[in-house]
Amino acid sequence: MQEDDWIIRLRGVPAVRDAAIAELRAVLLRGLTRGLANRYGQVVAVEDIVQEALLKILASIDTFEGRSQFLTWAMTVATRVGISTLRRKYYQDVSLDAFNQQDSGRVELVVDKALTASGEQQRKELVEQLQQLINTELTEKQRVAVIAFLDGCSIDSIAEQTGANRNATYKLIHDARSRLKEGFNRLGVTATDVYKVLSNKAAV
Amino acid sequence: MKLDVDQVVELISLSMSSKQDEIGCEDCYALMDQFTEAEMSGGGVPAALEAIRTHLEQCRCCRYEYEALLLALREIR
Repeated sequence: MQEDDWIIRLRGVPAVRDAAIAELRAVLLRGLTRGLANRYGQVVAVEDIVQEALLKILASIDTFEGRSQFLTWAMTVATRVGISTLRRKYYQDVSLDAFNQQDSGRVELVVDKALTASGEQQRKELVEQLQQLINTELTEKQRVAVIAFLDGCSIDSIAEQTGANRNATYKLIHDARSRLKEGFNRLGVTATDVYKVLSNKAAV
Repeated sequence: MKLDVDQVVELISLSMSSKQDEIGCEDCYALMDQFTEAEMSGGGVPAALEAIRTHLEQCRCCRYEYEALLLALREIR
């Protein structure tokens, strides 16, 4: 089918539209079966995801601007529906309270012994500076989000539990990263210094 | 709250690579179809879409979606 045909057919008379939807459903099913396989260690009910994705695609078809091929756009929408569904299930039992309630919100870096044993004073100082910056430069909200993120929580999951959206949560973490970078800069530590000190990660 | 060695290294690396002009998840999603097509074409990604690559390096959620999308599109082409 030609690219333009998809839009025309999906907006066509019922018989034409139904045939286009059936065709699109088959394409999405084939793609998502491959794309979502083994994601988040779950068995995927791809048919359900395709159905939800189809509804979303048809509801937002007016926003398709033709900057990519129609099927690329449609598969992008469908993939987000699928990954979001799997992610919600995977993280449904994870609570940010576990990060909130420990140690009065302060962060401890548990690498001292390894650092001391390695005899690398520079690394030890760097980690101590990081710990200081985390506890003085970041808000409690930023600390919890950053720690949860580093612990493997998805940004979506953090967003859901904090009542924010993914974009705002990404910005929260981005601002935290920027504050830490500014803190290092104030201490005279540059990115080059850091990468040099961390270049032998195995020794940390 | 505790961080182990790997998390410390990741945090320092993420912090030092942060840029003021990074795009967010919604902007990444809005351009992901174009970026993916450009990547799949093998002809290089336009400069205007390079910000997507940077975002994908920093954001696991978006990267995961992108990887799934690539697989799905390769399957149907």
